[in-house]
Amino acid sequence: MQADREQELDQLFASYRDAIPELEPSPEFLANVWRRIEENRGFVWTTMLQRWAPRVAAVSALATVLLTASVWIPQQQRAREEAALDRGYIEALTVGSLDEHDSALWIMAGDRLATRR
Amino acid sequence: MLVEPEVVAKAQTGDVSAFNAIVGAYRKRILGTIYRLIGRGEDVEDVAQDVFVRLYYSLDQLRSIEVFEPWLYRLTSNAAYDYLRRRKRSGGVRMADLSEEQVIAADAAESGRRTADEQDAAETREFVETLFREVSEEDRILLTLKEVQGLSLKELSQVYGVNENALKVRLFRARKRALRAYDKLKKRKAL
Repeated sequence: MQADREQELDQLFASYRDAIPELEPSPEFLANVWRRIEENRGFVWTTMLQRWAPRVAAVSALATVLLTASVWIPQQQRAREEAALDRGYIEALTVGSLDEHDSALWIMAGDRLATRR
Repeated sequence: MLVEPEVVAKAQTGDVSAFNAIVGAYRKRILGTIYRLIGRGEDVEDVAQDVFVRLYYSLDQLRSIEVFEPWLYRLTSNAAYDYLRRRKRSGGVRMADLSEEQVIAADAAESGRRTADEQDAAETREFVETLFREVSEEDRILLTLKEVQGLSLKELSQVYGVNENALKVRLFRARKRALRAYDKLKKRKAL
């Protein structure tokens, strides 16, 4: 029963094969293929751009971050160095003024002792 | 192969005359395959042109010229599949959708212009077309390539890019579904 049905189906497919007439391509077949190829050229570029657009955007974003970092990090380092230099100068001034202040105190104390004697 | 491997290699480099030679050599075969795959004569040429457009834009992706023909079959199957899906979505008018009176009228108009052999062939085409509408597009294409077009399992495995055992399973299932549809149609016809 099953085998008969299988056979019937095979026969049906064989008849279908023979029932399909052989088609002749139209004389404009090749010309139409080229027309469609030309029409698709712009579309292919658009499709490629669409496909690559997210990647290009991601690469651009990464490049922006890297460029910003490459400008910002040296600037920050320079600012830190300058601040350190400024601090050093102020500290040097402070120490210098303290020394002068101390010596002035010593001188004043010496004068006072001398007058008491 | 219907063309020398050198012709395919030249077409891959963008040689227009080599590409034209491929179209000239394969167009009749492609037209026949598409007719069997989609079952609608008036759209065959349009789908066949689509196959060659796809071929033009993807020739550079062909790694080995030895698999050119299975690869062309794959492009053909893909174009037919896309067409069948489009047709299903757009819900084009089919004989199965017409009322009984409309079918009889259409048949009568057609049969007046046909010989007895042509009439038999038209009935077979209509029956198989109705049968294929009962199965999926995937089953339809696989069954057509194997049972109608006569591709071997080895050729099919190159077209589908899967091993022969996996194909056997797919074919078995597709045939089972086709048999179920066949029984259903026979019952409907007997009524």
